[in-house]
Amino acid sequence: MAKQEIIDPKLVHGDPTKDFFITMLIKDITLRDAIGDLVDNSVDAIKAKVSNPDKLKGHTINIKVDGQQFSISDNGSGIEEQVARDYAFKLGKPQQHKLIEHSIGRFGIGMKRAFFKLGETISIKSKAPTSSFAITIPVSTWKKDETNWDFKFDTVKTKEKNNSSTTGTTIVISDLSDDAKENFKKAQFENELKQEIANEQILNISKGLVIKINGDTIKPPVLTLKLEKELIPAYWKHTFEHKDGKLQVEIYAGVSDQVENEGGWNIFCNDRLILSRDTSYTTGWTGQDGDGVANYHQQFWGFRGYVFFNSKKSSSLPWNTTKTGIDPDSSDYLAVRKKMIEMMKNVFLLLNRQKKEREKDNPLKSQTLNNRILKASAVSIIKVLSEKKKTEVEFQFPQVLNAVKETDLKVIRYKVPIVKFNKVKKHIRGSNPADVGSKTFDHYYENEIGN
Amino acid sequence: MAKSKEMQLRNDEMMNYMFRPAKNIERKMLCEALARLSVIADVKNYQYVGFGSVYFVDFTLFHKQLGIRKLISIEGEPDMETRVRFNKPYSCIDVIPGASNDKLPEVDWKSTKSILWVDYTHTLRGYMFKDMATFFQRAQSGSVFIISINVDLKENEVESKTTTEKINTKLNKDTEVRKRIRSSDLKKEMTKGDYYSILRNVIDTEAKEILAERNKLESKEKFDYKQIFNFLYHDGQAMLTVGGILFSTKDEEKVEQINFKNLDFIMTGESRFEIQVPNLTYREIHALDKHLPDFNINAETKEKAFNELKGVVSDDAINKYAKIYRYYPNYTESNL
Repeated sequence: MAKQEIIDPKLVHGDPTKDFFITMLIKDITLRDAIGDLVDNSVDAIKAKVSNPDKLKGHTINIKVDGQQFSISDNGSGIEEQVARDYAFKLGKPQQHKLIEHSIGRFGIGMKRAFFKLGETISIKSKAPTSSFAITIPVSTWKKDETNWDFKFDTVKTKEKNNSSTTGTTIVISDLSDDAKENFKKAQFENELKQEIANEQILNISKGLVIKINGDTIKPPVLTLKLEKELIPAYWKHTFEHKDGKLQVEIYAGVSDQVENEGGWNIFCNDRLILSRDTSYTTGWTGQDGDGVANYHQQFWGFRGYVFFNSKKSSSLPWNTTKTGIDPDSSDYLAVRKKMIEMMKNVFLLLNRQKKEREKDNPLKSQTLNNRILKASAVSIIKVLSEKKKTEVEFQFPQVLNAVKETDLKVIRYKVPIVKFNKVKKHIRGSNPADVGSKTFDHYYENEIGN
Repeated sequence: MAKSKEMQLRNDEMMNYMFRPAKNIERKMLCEALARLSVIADVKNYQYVGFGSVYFVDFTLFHKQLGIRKLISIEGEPDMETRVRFNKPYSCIDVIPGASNDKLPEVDWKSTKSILWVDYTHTLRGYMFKDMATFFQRAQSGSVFIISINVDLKENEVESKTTTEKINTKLNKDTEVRKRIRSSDLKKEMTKGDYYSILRNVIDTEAKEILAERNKLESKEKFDYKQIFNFLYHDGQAMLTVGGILFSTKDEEKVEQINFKNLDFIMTGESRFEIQVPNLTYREIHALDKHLPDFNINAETKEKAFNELKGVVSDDAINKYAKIYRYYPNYTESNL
């Protein structure tokens, strides 16, 4: 029967086209972010299954990428058929949907966005405690019908009793997008992917989760803080009480080894690393004139800061939708940022003293403070976090200093003919003019004045 | 030969530049107000943090008048350290060499209430907000913040420029200051008074905004800031001093009890207390003092005083003197 057109003279069309919708959805995410989103979903599924979310041993996420296909599988809780039917594949989470507590899948778009970003044919198989299903999404044919937004199961079984050791989800994506096809072949992409996922999931990996990419178990970097009797990292915590739930924040700030690309702030939201070794305006490195501290440079290579946001409701966390950064307008974060700046200022008291002690050619063996810090042992942040007794404490460091005093040294400047200089330099085996100068002076002192 | 900057100053300004009588008066007024902090907690147990330089005038005054025994001077000139230590008048003064941005965080703000006077010689600049953050994020309830900045428009400016142009040039020099200015404060035509108000508003808003961020993280007490000082004076250069008290809700009543407002020079808003120091001889001062403080209340006495000194001291100078007579400095030549 032909559909009767009812023309409402006041009607203005506002419905989206699928193509526009997809383009907007994937515009600002990278391939790696898309894969990261799928990993987050797997982590949520695994945490939903275990009794203690801090013990993830025995759980694996397996990722395979090549120029033809992408796949990810996990042995998490799986997706129940009812959840798949009503929520999981809807574009955006309906308001009444109860989110998984402490989840990192926040907006109900991560998985779908990842699908659209990666390829055109997506097949998902999932086994949950009481149901299982398989579904295939053919994006190109789905896109053509502008009126129907639904998908169809290939197979579906309900009222099952599946052993918890058999549950899990597998996603296979083929007909890869041009970008995916090209990048997935590259060794560099694979290596960067490993590094990024290892970074993002560092806390979950430390809790026993195994993530494999093309067969290799990825290893996260070791994040540390130096800790000893008189070198105590600052610790501060706070709970924001909002109408719709609590947001907890914990901060550690201190020092570790002086390595250029290891200094800065690391910010986690529900165990997921959002900002890694950040030294930008966002974390208070504003440069001389801003409201924060100086720009990051060698003097501050030793700084380490760790911020952990935790909330039962992932929507309370101050991150952006792509989980690649902090939401700069979050009022909670802005207050925390000011606190981070104050905590940095205290750590800088030590870093400034260390710099002062290195100045004026002070030999390393005389640098009492620097040696103390150098010898202090670096402890993994995972270990620091697991401490049962946590009390707020300000940054403390050894009150020693052995800097060269202004009055201890005198600078001598004079000019000599270059020919004579070269002869002396060779004779005394000096490496540079300063060295030649001090050696000749020492020679005179020894012979004419004596020790 | 080019005239030195001092030489270019007018004769009486030159005198002021040497003796800084207005600054002297301001210091005494601050001290009188600070003495009242004892309503909250014994002021002698406060700590004072300032920039003592080699003179330590404020340190000496606050130690003698208020009994403060914990005094910290931040010394920003590395070459001056030895001289500064030599000039330190009391053993209870602790000199910390280094820039205020780096060194104020070293001060222990937690275990005692503080009076911080950041007496800068510059115009308002971005780095000063960092010092404000250190104080307002950390200081205890009952602490006092005071900031002095140069607000002179003469310096390095082309004479032909209008006041509005000069103000805009000054304000555009520092992006951190510029972005904190309310657009409603920037009028098409501005006077010097408007300029001072803009800077006062920037400082006032900054203090309150830092506290708003701090309050989000405080579970027990909420902090507020109330301005009590807004001085303007010229000792050769125009200087603005703004300051106020930081307090938490639990001390709100005590702050009310202090009743700062019954001191004439207390200014809680945009209007300023201008310290103008007329040049008077001792005979003139003695003649005027006989009519004070009646002069300030009684119109008849006022008329009498004007008549008595007609042709000797202008009515304007008499009015200025009457505002500050209790703090007017006495200079005598002496061998110490």
